Amino acid sequence: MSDFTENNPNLFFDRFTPKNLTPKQHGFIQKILKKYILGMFISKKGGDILFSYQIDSKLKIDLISNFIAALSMFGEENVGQIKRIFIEGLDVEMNIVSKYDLILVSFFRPNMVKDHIEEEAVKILDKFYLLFKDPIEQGKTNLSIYQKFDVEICLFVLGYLTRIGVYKEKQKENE
Amino acid sequence: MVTIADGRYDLPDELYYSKNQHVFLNLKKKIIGLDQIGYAFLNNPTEISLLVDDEIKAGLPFVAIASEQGVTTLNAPCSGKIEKFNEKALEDMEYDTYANGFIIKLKEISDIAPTLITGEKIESWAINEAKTLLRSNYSFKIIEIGDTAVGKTAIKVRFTDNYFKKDLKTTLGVDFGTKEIKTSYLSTDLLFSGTYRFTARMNVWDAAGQDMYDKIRGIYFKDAKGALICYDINNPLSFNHLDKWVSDLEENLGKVPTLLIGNKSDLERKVSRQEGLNYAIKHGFLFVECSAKTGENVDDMFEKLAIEIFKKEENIE
Repeated sequence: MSDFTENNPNLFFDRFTPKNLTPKQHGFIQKILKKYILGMFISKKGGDILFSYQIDSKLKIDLISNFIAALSMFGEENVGQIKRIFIEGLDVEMNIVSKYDLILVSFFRPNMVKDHIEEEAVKILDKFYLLFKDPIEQGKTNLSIYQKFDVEICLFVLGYLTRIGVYKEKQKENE
Repeated sequence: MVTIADGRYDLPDELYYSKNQHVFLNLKKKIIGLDQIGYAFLNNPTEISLLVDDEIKAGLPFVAIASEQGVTTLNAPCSGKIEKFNEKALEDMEYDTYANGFIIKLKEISDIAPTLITGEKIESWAINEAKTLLRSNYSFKIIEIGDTAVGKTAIKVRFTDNYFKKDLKTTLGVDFGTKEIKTSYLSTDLLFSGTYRFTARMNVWDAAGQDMYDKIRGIYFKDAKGALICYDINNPLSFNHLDKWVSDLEENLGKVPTLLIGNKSDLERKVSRQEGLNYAIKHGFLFVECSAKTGENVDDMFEKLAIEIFKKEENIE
């Protein structure tokens, strides 16, 4: 297997400011994301990525998704569900949530506050499934179908940052 | 005016748009045309034809446009009598789709389709549509099976990393590699004649061929869109075992686009090409002989498989 790093351009979040966020909120999310979160993806249980964004351009998330899918499938059959993986060489921690035959993996720096992270991840998967139930069940893997989800992700991230106290009421008032 | 995608597309907010086809309706000027995103979706249009005589009906096809991607039929956003069909619409759309590039002008408008959107509703819809337009990538999981030592890992490595290593270790459980390919498919279908271009991320899962992995191999087939069944043209036994792999595939995935591969074409042949071809025809598989060592046919065969999967995914032919 090849290693898990390469130099890819950053994807998503930098193309459009979601309509329901102010430019300041969007800028804040980008800044915080770059500090703590390295990326995330939602894939089918078999490994095909349906939606992703990548902050750390070095991570080969396409390869990682296959690795996680294989581990999850093997784990479920033999040892139980795998929920978190730490890769020391990359200084990356991966949080894994499975639901609806989908897998959501988020990449963090190990020092990131991880309160409520699994709960939020389940909410994200719920929303993703609600929005794209038909193409998911039809097995569609054209990524453009699912790309619209980046607006929802921005809202989830803002909600999460508010919940853990990183995004303060005072900042809201200034916007 | 709604301006999106770094100024690439403008959509006047006083116009009415059909969400699925990007047909706009200008109530004041009584003209119908394609918005800028819809025009961009067309991909080098070559011909436009009116499908009705002198009247359009809301929701029914009124015009057909041929482009590199195929033939698109547009549905009317309203009903009404036609005053003028703009035969030069395609020439003018590129520069001015909302005025000179209109498709038809009506004498009067009636029965506007209730699904049309205007005003504040345009922006979020157009942003999403532009995103779809800007990125059209597929992700295809491919399962690779066959007897041990037929060169499955070597094929995967040649495809994903373009090198050959003579003494690869036996695969334990499963190995994988990934590569993005850009390809196109020329359709000769009567309704959609044209070239489909797409990008596919090929996720190749190389499943261990040894009998000891028979019990766990099945779980790795999950969600695969296509399969590679490999044998060694220098090893007749690997060819004789193909039935086992076909049955494994059908049991776990049913019918999926499948490529039968005779590997090691650089070595002395002990299985004839005709035998391989006959086996592929009998099972409805694509067939290629290749050499992971020299790279012969490796990229081409993955492209062939990607096209077959794409056709199945998009219900083409």
